[in-house]
Amino acid sequence: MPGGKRISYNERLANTPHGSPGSNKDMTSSSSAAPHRFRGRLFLLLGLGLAVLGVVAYVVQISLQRLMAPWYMPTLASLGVVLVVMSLLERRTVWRVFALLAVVLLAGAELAFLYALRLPPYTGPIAVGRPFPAFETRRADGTPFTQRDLAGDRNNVLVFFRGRW
Amino acid sequence: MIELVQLERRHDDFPKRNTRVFVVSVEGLDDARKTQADFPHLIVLADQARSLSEMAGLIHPHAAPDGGDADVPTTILVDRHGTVRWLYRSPEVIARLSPDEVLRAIDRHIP
Repeated sequence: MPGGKRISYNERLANTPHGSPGSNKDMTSSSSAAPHRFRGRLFLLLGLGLAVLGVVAYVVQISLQRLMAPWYMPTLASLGVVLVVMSLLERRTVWRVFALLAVVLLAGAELAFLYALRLPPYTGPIAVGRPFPAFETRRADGTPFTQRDLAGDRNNVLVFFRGRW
Repeated sequence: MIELVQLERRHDDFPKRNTRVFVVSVEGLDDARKTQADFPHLIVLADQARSLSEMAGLIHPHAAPDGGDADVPTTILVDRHGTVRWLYRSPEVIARLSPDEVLRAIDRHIP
């Protein structure tokens, strides 16, 4: 190499992080890193999978017309956060940091969604064991309907619903 | 509306318990007529004047998609003497009782 300094093989090897002449440290460190990488990827995939599973389960729940609060969604996403953190502890990469951010945001959004839908406990005037208070409303055909129509020979279920939308 | 679909499907189970099912919303008579046509075995009440919903404390302000008010999803059992036997309000606005849960409540709370 004209004009350049020649570096011996042993010098190059000595300058590498784990290298020293005649040692096989590189080989041992890469063979021990392989299980770490595999475990990290497994945690990452499981974490992302759990976060997605919550959303998929909610879609299935709605398609089955089950009207219940999907608390499993943020629970699964939170487990996903833990697993992605564990994958980051195994090996730090930009993609895993992005994955962690995404799963944290998803878990937060799901929690916020559920808390926004919470209702305060009932504090109105209707009390168990007391007569239904007086009111006057209409049936669908326009005829009047009052609390007196609730008394008779049959029991009654009153279901208050939000509307046709 | 899903709860109405489910109640209509199970309408046979309520007369067996000597019970009628009323469904109430603050919509007007036109919407109530459509709802009645869709669910002929339920008795639809059009509480447009809100006499019933306001008296019961069940108005959820600005909860409708157009920004208007709506009823809080609630189920009340009233026996044949007009006495309240049970009241259920879900802790979340998206949750509802299933027909099986309503029927179990009737069996448990109305002698």
